[in-house]
Amino acid sequence: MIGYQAAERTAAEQLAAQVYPMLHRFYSSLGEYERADDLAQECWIRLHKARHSYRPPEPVLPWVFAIARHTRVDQFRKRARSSGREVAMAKGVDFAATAAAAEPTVLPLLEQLPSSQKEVLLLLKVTGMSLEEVALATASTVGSVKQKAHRAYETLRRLMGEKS
Amino acid sequence: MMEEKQIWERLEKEIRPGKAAPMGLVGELTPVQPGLSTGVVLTVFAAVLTGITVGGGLTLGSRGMLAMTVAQVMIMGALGVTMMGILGLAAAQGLRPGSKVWVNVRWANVLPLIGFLAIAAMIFPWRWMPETFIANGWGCLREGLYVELASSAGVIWLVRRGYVMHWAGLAGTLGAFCGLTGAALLHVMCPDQEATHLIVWHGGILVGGTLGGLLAGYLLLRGK
Repeated sequence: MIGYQAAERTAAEQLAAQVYPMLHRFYSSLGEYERADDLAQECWIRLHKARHSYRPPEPVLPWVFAIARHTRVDQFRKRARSSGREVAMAKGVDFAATAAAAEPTVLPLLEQLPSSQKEVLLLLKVTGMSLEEVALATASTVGSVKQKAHRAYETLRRLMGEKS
Repeated sequence: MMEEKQIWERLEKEIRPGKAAPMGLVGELTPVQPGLSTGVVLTVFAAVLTGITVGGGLTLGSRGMLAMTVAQVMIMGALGVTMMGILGLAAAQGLRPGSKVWVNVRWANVLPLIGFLAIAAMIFPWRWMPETFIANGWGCLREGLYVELASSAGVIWLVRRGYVMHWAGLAGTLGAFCGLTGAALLHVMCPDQEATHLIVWHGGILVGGTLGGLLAGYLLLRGK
């Protein structure tokens, strides 16, 4: 990241190679299947514009995922605004439902979790960040992250128990 | 019932693999200065507050300071510094994505007002004079608003050096800080150190700053 801030091309390419797949995985796991590409690219543009706001030696991933979360919220807001003005001409294919139908067991159950719990669970799992880092990325506390992860796990366990 | 470990393992397998970065994702590169530290934000806040209070006091007079007792000066000074610290921490966390949350932004935005009103009500005498209340207060309000505009120039520099994700919260914090500088200078130069005057008019500067900031944040958010 320090190299990226100093405009070193190799450092920037290395960062993109490490971070971009994580971003794509994060967005697609959050249920943004057909928009994961767009979101990941939009997020990368924002990361590039905001690269001056990272301060070494702080951990990089909380900085990246704080912006990633914000990108998703912004896009959601934009979509909500534009969808209010648009009139559907014909019923489209529900990509999320088709994708979910082909899904194995646990991932579709995540859809039943509250958004904040799902996000915490995926940040822990997709990025491998620690509880402290997830707390930084979500602008909350370690206790809150632990609580959300625990509640998400409890709900998942209950849902899977019901299913089996 | 499945164990936590099993759920985690299955989740790990089921999460889709991420796509590799597309070619040409890294475009033009120019070197940038690393972000603002909390210390820099606090220093800028301290410089703006001190500069405006001392500079304004020297050029416009310090009759308010002379009308206060030593204890009142000390208490109001300590309140101003504490509030500046809280607002500085809130601003620093709002300007750097992924930084540690030191203070709750909502509380930080209203704390200066609550602190000021409570302390002013407790340590200043209540001698309401209806004949001068409006005339004196209106002058204070006008001058305070000019000071707020002047101090907003300093905080705009901070915003340009950071990356703002939550405009409404940060703009409220910066507005509250501008209100704090306005109220601090009024306290130094205004000879009317009476509780009703302070609460309504000097407190009004704090309210105006915070509300102005929140409004600016809301408009910026709408424009995005």
